[in-house]
Amino acid sequence: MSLLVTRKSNNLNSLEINDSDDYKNNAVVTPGEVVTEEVTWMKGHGTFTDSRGIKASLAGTVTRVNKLISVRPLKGRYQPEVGDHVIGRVLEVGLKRWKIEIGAAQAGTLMLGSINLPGGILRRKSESDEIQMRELLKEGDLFNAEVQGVFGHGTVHLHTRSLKYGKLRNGFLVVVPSQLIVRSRSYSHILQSGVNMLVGINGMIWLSKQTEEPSAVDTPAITRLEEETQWSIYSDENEFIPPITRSSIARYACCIKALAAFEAPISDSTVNAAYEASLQYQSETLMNPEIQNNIAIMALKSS
Amino acid sequence: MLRAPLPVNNSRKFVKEILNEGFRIDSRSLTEFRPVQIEFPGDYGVVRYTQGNTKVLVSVSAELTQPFEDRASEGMFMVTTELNPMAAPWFNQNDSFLDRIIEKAIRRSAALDLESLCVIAGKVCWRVRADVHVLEFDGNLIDAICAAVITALRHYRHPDTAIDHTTNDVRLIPTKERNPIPLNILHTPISVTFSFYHDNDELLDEDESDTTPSHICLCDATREEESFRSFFLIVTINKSKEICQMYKSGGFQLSTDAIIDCVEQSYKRAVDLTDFIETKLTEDSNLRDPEWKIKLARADNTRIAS
Amino acid sequence: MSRIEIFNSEGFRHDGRRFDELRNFTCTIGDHPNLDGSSSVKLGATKVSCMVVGPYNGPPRLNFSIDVTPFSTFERQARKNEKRLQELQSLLVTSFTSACATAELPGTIDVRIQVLAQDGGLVSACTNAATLALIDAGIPMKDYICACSAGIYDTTPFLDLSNAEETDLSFLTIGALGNDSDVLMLLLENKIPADHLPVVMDMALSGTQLVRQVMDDTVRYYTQQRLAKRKLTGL
Repeated sequence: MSLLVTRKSNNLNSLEINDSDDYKNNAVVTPGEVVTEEVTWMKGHGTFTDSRGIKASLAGTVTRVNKLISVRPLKGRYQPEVGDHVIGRVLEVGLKRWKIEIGAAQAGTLMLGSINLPGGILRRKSESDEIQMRELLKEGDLFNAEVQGVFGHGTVHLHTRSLKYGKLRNGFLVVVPSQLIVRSRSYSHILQSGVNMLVGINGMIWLSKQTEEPSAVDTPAITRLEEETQWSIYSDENEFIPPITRSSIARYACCIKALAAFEAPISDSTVNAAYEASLQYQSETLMNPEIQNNIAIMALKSS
Repeated sequence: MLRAPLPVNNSRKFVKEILNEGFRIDSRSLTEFRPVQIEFPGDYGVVRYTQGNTKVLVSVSAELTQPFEDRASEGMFMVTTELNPMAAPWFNQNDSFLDRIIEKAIRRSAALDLESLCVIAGKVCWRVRADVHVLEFDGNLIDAICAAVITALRHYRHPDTAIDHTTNDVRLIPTKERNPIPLNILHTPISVTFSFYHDNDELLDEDESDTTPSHICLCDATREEESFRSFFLIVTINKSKEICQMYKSGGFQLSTDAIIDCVEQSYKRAVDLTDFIETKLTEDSNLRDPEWKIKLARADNTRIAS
Repeated sequence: MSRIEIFNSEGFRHDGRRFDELRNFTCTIGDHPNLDGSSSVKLGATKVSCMVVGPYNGPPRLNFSIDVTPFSTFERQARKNEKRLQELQSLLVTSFTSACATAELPGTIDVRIQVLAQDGGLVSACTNAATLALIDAGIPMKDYICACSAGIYDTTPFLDLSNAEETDLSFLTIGALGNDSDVLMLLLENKIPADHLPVVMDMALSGTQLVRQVMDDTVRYYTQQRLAKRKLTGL
């Protein structure tokens, strides 16, 4: 996940990055440390200007992308970016909007106009919708969404305008540090034993029973969307989950926790590898730190 | 609940600009204090202290009580500050920070000798309390309250006591029979609050080669000046040049030279204000002293030898 | 209570230090991986631990809460000095708010300090622990706020006073922002003759630099450890 940038020293105009900037890429800096004395760089996240130059405001590594210099912290809350797939929990039901907890510095916002209203994509929201917001999403509900926009002060707007997104059911939530999540093209993975994993870049992972109709489909035709946006997509009823699936879900959850404790990257391949490695252990022992350590090591070796 | 009026950007900019020139809205210089008035409107221990438009009323009282177990030979002293909407419409709760500063200035610095308040060790002692009522607020509450409290403590007299050693009974002697006794005040701590401002609005000027931003420092800020200061420095000092307490937090950094400068300024102020307080106390004690009035009225005044 | 010798003829203090020696100062960060930021500081026998939660959804402000355990002092302290703690809390809030590198704090940040053992230097230990925990949590800071206390015995300035020394001598605590020799935070609660102030302030400032070095080394060490671990796991 490191942002390694190749130095285009011949393209940078008269900036003696090799001389005045004593720091190689990915050097460790601490708050107050001068990153470079040249103030002509664009200041990215984790830096600020002082009379002595550009200084780091976080403890982390220096990264450079063309003329943007920033400091990436090794620890920190999730930083939302446009297009991220996240899982959120409803905090508050407000006037035509919901306030969502996504594990970032500020709460996210889901506007009433950004969700799929039951009855089809072309259905306009009515006054009764505004009053019945709680029937759709109420406090404590989990759902997955995409980040629509990030504004000043860290306000984040989400939307669920696709069949891929919506309320989550039939499963279990695992929360891990967001830096461990590997970004990939797809976030819904079908795992073994009938378990489905939905990965949120904000570190929230939803393990659920695989449903007959997989909810992760590509954008369908409008008519299909109309058909499928029934009130049932906002239902709170869980289906019957057989005990075997439940224990698989639990096992997967422990594996993900094991990877997180080891600070290993979390992707479908590492999770599957961890699951394989964990099969030799009894399910009651999976929360034991030593066993978790072993699982993580074996998972990384094989993936 | 009313909120303090937010500083208006235009007036803030205007005040800052004239501060840069070294002037203030009320035409004082940066190191000038507002005129102080001290009145003793009632009994011993009641002081009305005015500094500009900030008015404070302090009332000192004392009662006999049992001392703390771990401080058997000491009396007690407490200050309570009442901040209510009479002072300013948005005041509606007590400021514990204010209480602490005053307590440190007076109690921790041992301005009031607590051991002298002990009547019978472990059994009876005086509990002195100073009640502060802020009548009007126009900035610089700390300085006003500190000065008012110490003046009131120096003014106050408590009834004399008669101790029956056989029964360990303490009897208060009425003031008509015997003169009340003043408290044992060891020194007079005076607080001075300095307000600091950046001298340019942009906090991080990229062209600035000087690492320490030059700043503006003023004494005795009014409410408006207080509303946009970067931070304040409180120095409590007495006439013997002993610093009783110092407090600075937040804002930008100050060099040690700047701090020492402030200490010198506050010492000057302490000397002036202490002298003023003493003059006022003497005047008042003369007025209350029946002998003095008689002396004044005598026909055979001292003749000045030519 | 036995009389201890504050400063003997050989120039040693009661714990064997010279007048300008700092006590053993060690710190750790990231002790609680479940929290956003955590740290633990040991300054001599004074032990303080700090936990940071945030930034989370809310108005941009810093909330400090200091909890002094009753067993932290030599004799069990049943009475809590609430007002003193509140004052200390507001002192730290204003100092750290001004040390934040962004114009506004990223959200609401809760800092909880737990005082486990006290042997002098409480304000310094709390400040240093808070600095480390905030850095661990990834809150943007202009620099380290390093604090140290200094006092005066007769005409000799003492660095970093223990509890025994604090009861007898006048002392102050200074918080400096990084390498600057300027004062960000200053707290003096005893009587000190004004003529001695410069030498005591200079002593405290030199102490803050020593403290900063230790804190910086610790943060660097932990950051490098984590980087190495991440490289190992392929992150």
